[in-house]
Amino acid sequence: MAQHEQLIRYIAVIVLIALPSLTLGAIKRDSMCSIVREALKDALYICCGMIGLAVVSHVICIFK
Amino acid sequence: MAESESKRIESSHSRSAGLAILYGWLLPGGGHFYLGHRNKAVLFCSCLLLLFSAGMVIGYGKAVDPQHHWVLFIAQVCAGPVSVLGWVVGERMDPMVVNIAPRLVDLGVVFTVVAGALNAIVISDAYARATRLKWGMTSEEGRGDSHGAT
Repeated sequence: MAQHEQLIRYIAVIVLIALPSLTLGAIKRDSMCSIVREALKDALYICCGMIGLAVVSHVICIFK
Repeated sequence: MAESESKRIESSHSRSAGLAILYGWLLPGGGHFYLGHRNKAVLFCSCLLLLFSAGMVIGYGKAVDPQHHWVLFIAQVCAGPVSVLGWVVGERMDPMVVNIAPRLVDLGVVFTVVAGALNAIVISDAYARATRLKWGMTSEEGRGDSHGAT
């Protein structure tokens, strides 16, 4: 059950990053090629933001 | 080719902004379909419905629950009638699921809220396209409208 939940969580994070960045890319750009390029850029920003949040929350937990 | 493209965009600008908003709420991407941006409409529809459905599946059907988190329900409603459908489905599910897997239900709530918030952005984009508002767009995107519109 725990392994199953872990797998769902990994897939969920990938879906949660990929689909919104594709949507935002389609809003910002018009041609298909530039939509994908923009989506990749957005996905990178989201990943950086998530890693940053994880580091900050980890540091807060250490010093708490 | 470019002339027909510009004619299509011109006709999209003459469409009603109110109807673009209404269609955009009824089905994600509906506003863009109404304005003639069909490829974009298909992309929005598939992405947002997939995101919302993933949230419902992960949250065991209890992701839309206005009784427990009504503030988040406001964002979920932006996804359209699917949110009401999700609410009806959630009412029929076993209420004990929330106690068995609360983290997964929370993850489902996040998915559906993100889908709703993104659809609100998509609707506002359809409104902007319908009324020729180009707020927040650089000159590059303005050029993209006339060359690579999908």
